Amino acid sequence: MKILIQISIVLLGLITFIPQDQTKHRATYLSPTHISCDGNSGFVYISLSTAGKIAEVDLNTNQLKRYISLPFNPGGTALSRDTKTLMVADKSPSGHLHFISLQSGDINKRISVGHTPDAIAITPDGKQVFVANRFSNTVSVIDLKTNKIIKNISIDRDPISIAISPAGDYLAVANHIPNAASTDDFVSAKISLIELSSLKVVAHIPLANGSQSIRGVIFSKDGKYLYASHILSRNTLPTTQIEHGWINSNAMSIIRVEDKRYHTSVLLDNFNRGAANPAGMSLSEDGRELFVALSGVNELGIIDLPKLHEKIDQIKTSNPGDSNPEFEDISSDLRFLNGIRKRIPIAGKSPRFVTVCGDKILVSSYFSSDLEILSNSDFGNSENISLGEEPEMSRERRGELLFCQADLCFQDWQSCLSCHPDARSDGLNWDLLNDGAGNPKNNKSMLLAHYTPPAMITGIRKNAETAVRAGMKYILFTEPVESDARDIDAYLKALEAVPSPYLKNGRLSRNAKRGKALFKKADCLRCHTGRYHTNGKKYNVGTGINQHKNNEFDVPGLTEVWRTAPYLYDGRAKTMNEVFSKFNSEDRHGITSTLSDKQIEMLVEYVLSL
Amino acid sequence: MKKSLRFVITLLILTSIALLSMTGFDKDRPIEESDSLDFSTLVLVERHAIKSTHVYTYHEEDNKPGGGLYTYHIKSKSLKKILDSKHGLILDANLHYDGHTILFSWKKDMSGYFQLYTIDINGDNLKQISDHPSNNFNACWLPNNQITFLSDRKPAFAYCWSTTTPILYKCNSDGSQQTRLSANYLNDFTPAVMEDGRILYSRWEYVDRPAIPIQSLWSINPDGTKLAGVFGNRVLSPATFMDARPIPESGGKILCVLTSHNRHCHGAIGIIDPGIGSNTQEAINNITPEINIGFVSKGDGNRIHGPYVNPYPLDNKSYLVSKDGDIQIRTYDNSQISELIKGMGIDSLGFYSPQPIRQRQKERLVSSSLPEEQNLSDEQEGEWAEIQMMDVYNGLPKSIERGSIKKLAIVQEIEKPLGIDPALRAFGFQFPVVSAGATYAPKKVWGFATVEEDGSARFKVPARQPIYFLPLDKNGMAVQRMRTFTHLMPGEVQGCVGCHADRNYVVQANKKSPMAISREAEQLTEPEWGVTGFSYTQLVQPIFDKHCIKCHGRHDPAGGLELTGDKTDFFNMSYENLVRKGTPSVDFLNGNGPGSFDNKYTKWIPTYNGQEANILRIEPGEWGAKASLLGQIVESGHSNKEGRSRITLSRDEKLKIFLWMDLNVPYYAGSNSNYQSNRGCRQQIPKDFITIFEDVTARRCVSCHKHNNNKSVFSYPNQFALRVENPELNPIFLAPLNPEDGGSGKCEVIVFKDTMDQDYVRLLKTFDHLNKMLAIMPRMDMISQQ
Repeated sequence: MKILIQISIVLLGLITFIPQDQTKHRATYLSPTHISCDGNSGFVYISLSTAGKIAEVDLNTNQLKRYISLPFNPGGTALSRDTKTLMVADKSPSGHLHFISLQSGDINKRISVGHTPDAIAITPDGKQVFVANRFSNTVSVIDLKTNKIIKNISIDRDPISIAISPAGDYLAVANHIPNAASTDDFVSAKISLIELSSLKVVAHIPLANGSQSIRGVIFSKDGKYLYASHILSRNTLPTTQIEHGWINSNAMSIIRVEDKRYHTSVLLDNFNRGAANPAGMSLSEDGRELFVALSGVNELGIIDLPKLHEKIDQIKTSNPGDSNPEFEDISSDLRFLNGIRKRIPIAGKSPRFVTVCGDKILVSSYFSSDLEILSNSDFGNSENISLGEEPEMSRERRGELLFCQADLCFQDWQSCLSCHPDARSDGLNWDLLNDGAGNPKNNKSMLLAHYTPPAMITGIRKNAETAVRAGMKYILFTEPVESDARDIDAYLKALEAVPSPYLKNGRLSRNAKRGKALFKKADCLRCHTGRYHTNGKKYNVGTGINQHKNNEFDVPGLTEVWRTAPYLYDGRAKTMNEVFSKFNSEDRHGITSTLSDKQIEMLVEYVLSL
Repeated sequence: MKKSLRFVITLLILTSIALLSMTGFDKDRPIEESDSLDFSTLVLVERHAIKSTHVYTYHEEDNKPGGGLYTYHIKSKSLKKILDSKHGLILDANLHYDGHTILFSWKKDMSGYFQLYTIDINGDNLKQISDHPSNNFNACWLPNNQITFLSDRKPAFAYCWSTTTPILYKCNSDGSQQTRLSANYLNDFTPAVMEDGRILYSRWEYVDRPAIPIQSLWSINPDGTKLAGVFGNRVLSPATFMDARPIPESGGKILCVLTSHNRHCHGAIGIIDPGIGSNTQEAINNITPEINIGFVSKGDGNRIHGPYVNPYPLDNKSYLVSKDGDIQIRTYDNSQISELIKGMGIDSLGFYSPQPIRQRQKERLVSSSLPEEQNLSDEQEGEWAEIQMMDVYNGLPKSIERGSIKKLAIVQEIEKPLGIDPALRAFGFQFPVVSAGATYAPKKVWGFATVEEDGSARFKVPARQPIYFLPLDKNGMAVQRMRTFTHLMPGEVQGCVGCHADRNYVVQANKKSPMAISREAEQLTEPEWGVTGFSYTQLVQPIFDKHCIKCHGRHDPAGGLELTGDKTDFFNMSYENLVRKGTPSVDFLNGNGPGSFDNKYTKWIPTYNGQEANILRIEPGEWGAKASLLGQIVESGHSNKEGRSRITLSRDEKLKIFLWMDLNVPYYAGSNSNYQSNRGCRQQIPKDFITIFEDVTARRCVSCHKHNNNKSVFSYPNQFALRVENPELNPIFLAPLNPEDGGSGKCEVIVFKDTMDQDYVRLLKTFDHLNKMLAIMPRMDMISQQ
């Protein structure tokens, strides 16, 4: 009895003193992501990105040592040179970089950075740390001596991953999705290359036409090449089929650092089975092997880099002229990596990060509570270290898992995530067949789609539920299983908008307030009204061209519209400004011709604050 | 020893044994006794071996009654009969995913057909699934509980044999909604389901190719869409890949029988890895290496003799197989081979179709994007599908200039709806004869589609027909030859990369949206002559009559080339001279003698047995109008030395001549024939001609013409081109005849003083009766409307 009471007291105390989670998620799932490795001590730190903590694991004993509890959900991490401090980004709209003492587990300091800081990287000399602020579209450079930001570098769009060259001379930033009007002939997400001596962007390097969802970026050991993992969409073709990568193929692109130019892309897929959603990458210690987490198929891709470059160089030198068709065909050849790439099954679901620590390859999977350890010499045998307990999956969690798994797709070519990164949009136009072929439309975000029927740009689907099932059938090419579809509905319904980067301290800026008045004045409220800024009806706003002349389009909701450029049904407006300044000459899409340039800017700022 | 220590040691030993037994096959232990086997009983079919003459005739030939359906418990070696077939023949069996229901095909009594049945593994619930008056067999479960199977209900026969050609169908598990999936006009074989939900099967074909070596692996979706070649469409040996099943968890490898064509279905066993290449040697792993399977680029694949059939992959390590009726379990690396049960040899009853009794997971169901309102089991006239071609130049060598291809011709191979006695063959194995050893099949041009400047096209195609495409240049000449065929379901929309070299590996590069895609799908422009079989006499001969026979007539034709339409024993004179003359086809019976088929005027593809090497010649411009002297002459206007055109043909007229060559010189437009008992269903010789000929020549000719060989005019019936119209112009009449009476003087002596010579008259008169008969019942090329 005495013991029982004592235990109860302890339990009560624990419950009371556990730091409250400040995130909106039910933070009982772990969702392991970034891994930082202390090669000397054999300690690794894994961000448990929905659990508000970092797991510290000892590779010498393969055991979880402790949790470092945080008042936020952790994103990227980096160890200080002296390994005493762990820097952690907090993925928050008013983001900070936190400095945690590894001895005490306390946050010593934090520096305000940008909106949703996630990936971070530290220079080899340990003097500077870089933080990619996803929705500020900047990289913050922090001097670790002064612990102050010395510069915020503008990059292209949604920097999701960064890497520093081994010599410390370049920073490469993976811009998640393209930043262009999707009606352009060439649309590609870019790698921003920053020269660290000057902290200037020396190039925004596009990859192959159709590149998007760049998730991983890493330099070769000799710094000559830069590798990026991404989806290579074949979006100029009607979606009549999916085999042989017809809709999406999965690629690794290569940039020649010296030239600051795109070199080529190789397809990670097999001819009869895709390698959906390539994500984080790492190099073996000797730099000869590149590991790519294939998050959609739960595998690790392993590429023999010397063999790869030998094969590419052979083709290049066989015809060094300007036009080398065989070289150009590399990114279309599903057989190119035969004998060069292996695919190893991973036990966890949605492996997104891979880190090499000594002779061990560590893989974290978002929907798994284990850290998987593969040995470099024997991939058949892997060990798992439990990072904690997780409750049974809720319907929303299961839906989130299904959304990013190619399991639902014929031959594993893609998952829903492939076109809808973060359940939003890839910034491309797609020629879906629901309204015939030859009329591509801009991709739409899934956020709040279930609350704003009808669905699709033309409103052709009665509601988002119908669109989800149509997507499974006509874009993933398998017969939808109703319980899967319901889980995905639940996940999408539970999505929450990220606060706009245009807000100032969570509130409309002065200009945005003025823009709000203009929004009313320009008659935008007639259609863009209500909680989600749409009255759910269809209108011809004079934007239709060619076969869409005089077409009506479904009024899109405007929540998070700051995030889903380009705009209009075919994505021809690269910016919101262009919607009014370039594509509304007849005032059919709101009365904006009478607004001055400044007023349009204010209107735009308001809309982008939603 | 202390009790506790003894206990620990015993425990350790037991644990080690347990652990050891969990690590897969123990080399010293037979596979079937291994603990890692997840089944204990097999389904078996007992029957006689079917020693058919060909791999595609097992449904009709050497079918003997006897045997039954059994389950076999491996460890206790106990065989339990669940269905007797004393008076009938059970061909095959496939177990449902539920591990309980067997789907099998059974010729219940030998006078009937194979039909589909199901039965439980304990012998209960025997149900007949199909009852159509046709053979229905080789059935396989689909993951949505439907059944795919072969049926010969569509009246079609092998061109080069007399048997029917069963093709792929599907139906519901109760046999309803039977739907044709395949438009093959030759045989399909042995469907199974792949891990990604597609149907894997084999198909025999020979579009402008010899008949023996191509029985290759194909896949199709359960709704009949997305037909795709998997492996072996350009492999000469082995000739046949059949009885194919996917190996679980192997990255797409396939286990199948490798065998000949002119033999029954037993052979070697191979593992095919299409990931290595669609036709490469390295992709074939012969796991029964004692059997020589030849090489992919040599021969005709027809010399493979092996005992293995019905391989069943258990997992990625081992498989079951029947070896001439003995059931074995083997590892793929042959480290372990165990016999499970013995049959009574290939000349008696044996065991076949071994399958483990266990449940298995259903593959994920591939969705169907066909319009849902369609009832596909009800075939209609005028069903259409759509092709969206991205870039015709994709897959063509870069030597083909961009912009040079203007149109696509959509061509159908016409099936043979008659069963004819093979003893009547001519020009290889044609019965009825369609060409002089070129195309086996008559051809039908459905129409033409526009190819845009950027190489794209978007057009309708007839659904459920075996069709192929010819890319035509601005002159109407084909730039490349497809030499295989595809088919689409009604309402199917198929995107294609282009004139693809190897469709398995090329992904379209992301370019501007193809021009053709932004317009509607084109209805084909029908040929000026209508959508009908291509008839040489209707379409090509009139052009020669109008423009050519003035110089190339019957008497002393220019260049020695007569182009009249006088009918001969098989064809007409212009066809004989343009196609047959100067090639081994001069001999209609054998046709495949020594000598080159590189004809002076028309470069056509010989399809005789023995010519298989031409299957590997795939460079554009090898054959057809572009490579032919006739093509050049027609296109250039037949210029004289001064460069002036001698003839002016319209575009349409030129197109017909070019198409004729690119369709591989068909003569007859269809398989119908009024003379089905004649040689080749076509040959016309006067009844008494041969006997009178022999008599006359023995007395009047042989004294000079001492050498009597097949190539000479005196050895009949292998004479080349016996004219039945204007027969007095045959050499036998002209050469010995007095030049003053119209003879040619070729004999250099006068044999027939004049046309009143008795022998001359007797021989010529034999044609009167023939021509009277042909006037009443014409041969097909003699009718104005075929």
